[in-house]
Amino acid sequence: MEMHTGDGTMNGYFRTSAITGLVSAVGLMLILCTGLSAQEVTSTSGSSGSGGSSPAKTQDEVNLTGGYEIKSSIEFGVRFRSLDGNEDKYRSDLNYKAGARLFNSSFFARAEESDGKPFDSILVTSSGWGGDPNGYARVNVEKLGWYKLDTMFRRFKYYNHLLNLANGEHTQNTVHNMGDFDLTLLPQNRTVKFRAGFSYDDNEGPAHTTFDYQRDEFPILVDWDTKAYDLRFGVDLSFGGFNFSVTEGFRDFKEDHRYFISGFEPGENPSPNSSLTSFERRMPIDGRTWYHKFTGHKYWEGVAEVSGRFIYSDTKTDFTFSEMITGTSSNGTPIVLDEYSASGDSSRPHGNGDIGVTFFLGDKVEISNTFGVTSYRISGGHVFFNSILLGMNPASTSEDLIWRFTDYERIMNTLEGSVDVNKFFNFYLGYRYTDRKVELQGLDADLQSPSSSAFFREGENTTNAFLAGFQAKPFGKKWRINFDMEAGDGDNPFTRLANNEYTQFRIKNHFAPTDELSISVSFEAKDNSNPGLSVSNPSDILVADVRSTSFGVAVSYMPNANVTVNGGYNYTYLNAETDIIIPTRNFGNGVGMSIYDLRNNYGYFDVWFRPHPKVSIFGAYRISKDTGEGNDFIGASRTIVGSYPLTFQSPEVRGTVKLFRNVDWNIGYQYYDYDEKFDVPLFGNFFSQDYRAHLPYTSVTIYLGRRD
Amino acid sequence: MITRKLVKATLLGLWAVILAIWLVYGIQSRAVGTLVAEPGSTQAAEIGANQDDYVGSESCKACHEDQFKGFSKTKHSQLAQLEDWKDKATGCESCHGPGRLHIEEADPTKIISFKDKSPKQISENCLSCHSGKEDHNQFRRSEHYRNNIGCTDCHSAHGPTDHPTQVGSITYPAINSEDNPGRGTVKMLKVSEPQLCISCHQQARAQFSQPFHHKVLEGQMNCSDCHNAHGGFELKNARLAVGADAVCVKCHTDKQGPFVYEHLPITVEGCATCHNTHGSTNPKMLKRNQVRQLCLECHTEILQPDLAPGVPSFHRQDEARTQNCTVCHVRIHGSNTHPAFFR
Repeated sequence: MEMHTGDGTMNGYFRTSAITGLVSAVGLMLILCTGLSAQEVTSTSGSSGSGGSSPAKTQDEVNLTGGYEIKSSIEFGVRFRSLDGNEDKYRSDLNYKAGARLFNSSFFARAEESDGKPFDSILVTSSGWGGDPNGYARVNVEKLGWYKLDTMFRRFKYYNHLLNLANGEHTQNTVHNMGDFDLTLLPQNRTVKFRAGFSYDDNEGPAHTTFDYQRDEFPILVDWDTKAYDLRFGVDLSFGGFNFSVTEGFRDFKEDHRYFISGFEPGENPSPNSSLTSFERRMPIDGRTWYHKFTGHKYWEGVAEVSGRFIYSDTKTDFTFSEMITGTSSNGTPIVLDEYSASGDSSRPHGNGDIGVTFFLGDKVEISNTFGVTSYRISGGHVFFNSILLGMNPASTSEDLIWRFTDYERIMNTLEGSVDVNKFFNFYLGYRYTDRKVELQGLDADLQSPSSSAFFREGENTTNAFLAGFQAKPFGKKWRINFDMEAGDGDNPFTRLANNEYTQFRIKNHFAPTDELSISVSFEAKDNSNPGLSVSNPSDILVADVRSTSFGVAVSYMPNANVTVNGGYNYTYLNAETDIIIPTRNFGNGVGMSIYDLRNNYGYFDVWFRPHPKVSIFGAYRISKDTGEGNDFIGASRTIVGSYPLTFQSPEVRGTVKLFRNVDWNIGYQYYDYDEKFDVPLFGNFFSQDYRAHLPYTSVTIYLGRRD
Repeated sequence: MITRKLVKATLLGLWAVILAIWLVYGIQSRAVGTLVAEPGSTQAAEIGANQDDYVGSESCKACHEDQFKGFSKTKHSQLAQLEDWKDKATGCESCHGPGRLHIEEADPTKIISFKDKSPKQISENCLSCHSGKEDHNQFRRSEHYRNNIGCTDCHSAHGPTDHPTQVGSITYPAINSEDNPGRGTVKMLKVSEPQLCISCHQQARAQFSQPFHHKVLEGQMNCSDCHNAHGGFELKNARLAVGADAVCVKCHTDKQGPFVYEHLPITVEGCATCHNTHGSTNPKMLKRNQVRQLCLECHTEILQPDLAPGVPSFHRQDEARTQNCTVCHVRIHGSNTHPAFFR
């Protein structure tokens, strides 16, 4: 078995990572030991700090460091990896690599006494730093009465190289960093609170895409680059029993991918003569959104409650476009220079207005109504210029003015009533009315002829839906049954995949006969039908039917403090059969069918037990198994069958030994097995996407403030 | 058409009237938000209490030591330190009402107990302080409330539940425990997200375990990043981003638009038309495992409404070259320069 790292066999990267990890681990241990040796004061929980340190602490005593009760854990170590099979698919799914890691950490400090301290509590949690594909760190700091700060940093190393998506030619290997910082001043003030927030989003890295040109397809390299920054300020006010919130926000976002080729590209289609010798494209987009949000709320105790919201946002983008190509056309003529350029802008003013009211008729009956209007208009256009110089011919040019407009409006009203029959049973009934209207307009003008053409299309969709549900508790709190359903009847759906004539219901059982055992059983079902008339033959009714059911059971059992067992099974059945028009070589367009089947079995089981006070063992097994029959195209009946026979399983085991009161040593092993059971046809060859990954690891967990 | 316009006009008119009544009544009202067991409140009156009957949380400690220990570390217990809450927050008695009679007579009926209250009744107690916050305003019309799921089904008012520390998966972060505090600790949740949510929404656990999924079980995302468990004006308790946009565009910046050439399903139906937002066996979390199925199911020349054009006859589905729609239609989420999303 071969050891792999991110880009191949075991190499210097792994050794460097291991050394780095070891150095980091030693450093962390030093820091923590320093923390451990800091002045500690032992206090009885729930009372102010007093007294000296005590070597033998009871369950009721806590350590105070600088007046703070600290609880912390940090787990760091080294992960190894052995992989066989399709590494690209493995990296697209999981992307765990070998090397040193900070697996998880948690730091929590809470002031025993608030006076004079910069914060009352701070919580820092993190996971996945040091080379894992996903990492996060969250910081929550609070000073009662003064401020509350919530921050989050996230990093996703996104890798995507799948053979069954765009012939495996749309790949991505980017790093996506995100951060959110939200500060609330005077968080407990009953009259006014102030809010400020900042977010950033940065996604960069190499990628591949394709370009359809001169009756051929060309692989194109991309320097992926998107960025966004958000700023928001708000104030919450309460007076006269009214509660108001006002938020003003601004978002700036940019996209500036660079598209290029590194050398001669013959194209993927063998029949035409087209090729590229150079290709360069830029189309930077600069966008910004101003948004304004107002919410109001009023509650009359036992009588009524009203809440409302109004949001208005205005998004605008400016963009330019330039593309320069040299190569050979489909008929073999040299393309001396094919040059495109455009500049334009677009805008989307968007308004949401919602209001909800509930009337309380005594203690047992409530009637509520929620009404909302959504409206936006998207308007955009550009002037597009093309100049192409073919062989010895004079340059051919074109210049077009393009404009597109989308107007969307939705009105939705939901009326509901609920009755608490007694403390064991309550039910509700409701009705939702939705009306949507969309208008599309466009203008294409040839500025050189000059000539123009325009179009206008519109659609309106109305849906009436009935809602119902109940909660029953046959044996008090030990058994809870929730049932809810929705049945809708619509017309003129905008898309065939959307809800039209649908029924969905779900029932959930939660049964906890004892404090140690709980059993949950759920069942969900949904069907949707979208009949439509064919344009070419209006007597033909083309149907889109989707039926799905899902059954799930979960058991949790904790007989004592040394054993926990969890397990569950979920089965999802989905059958989508849609009449579609399928073009074929010999018979042109004709009615066929798209069939998608999902028969997914998901099961999990995990057990934790502590056979000895210093030893604990965790084991888990998860499997997702879709028993579909594979992809197929049955040309004679114009039928596309899409389904998966795949199995994705991941057993895991971990042992922990408590070396000292505050130090654990862990050793574990994870295994991932992906098996699609059929190969992907690609360019006349067949490729497997199966993989098997072995991920053993060892780590140390250091605790602060750990209880005996 | 006329009927629809009449319905719209009626609804709008009705709501304008309600809004006006609300504003007029509200301006004239002198009601203020009250704690449930504030002296003089309905609930306090329920057990015949007055100001002298409040004895302080220390008096509860003797019998309810466990609850007191947890509660004393919460913000609930510390509120009394703040000037703004001095006359409102009274420790345990803020929710349970005055304790003098309960202590003197050792009578469990002389204190407000939530053991036999319904989730809605318990929630009313919490909302007496916690309503009015933007995130909570719609709770009484939320899916959870409608299905009788109350505040204490998820939150622990006496402080975070100290679960025993158990080592677990290296991939999925453990729940908050006595030695391993987490976000559930500061939010006073019974269990951390996402374990809290998937304990009821079991199907979501299966979806987040598919080969392609949002990293929720891994801890990088929370259910509450996309959903507001306290309800909202959007279906499925979904959140919005950047004002009025779908929550998806907060992270998927390049899909935000607006574009000159919008792809209508995204514009009018949303991302979930083509994607299973929790997870899928299919690449890109698509609802079909062949992209062409998704495309052809709409682009099939349906007469009403005529919003999606059919595919030209040279898109032969029995030829490899034209089976992968997105090889050519690469900017399928919207384009500024090409009506067929080629660039």
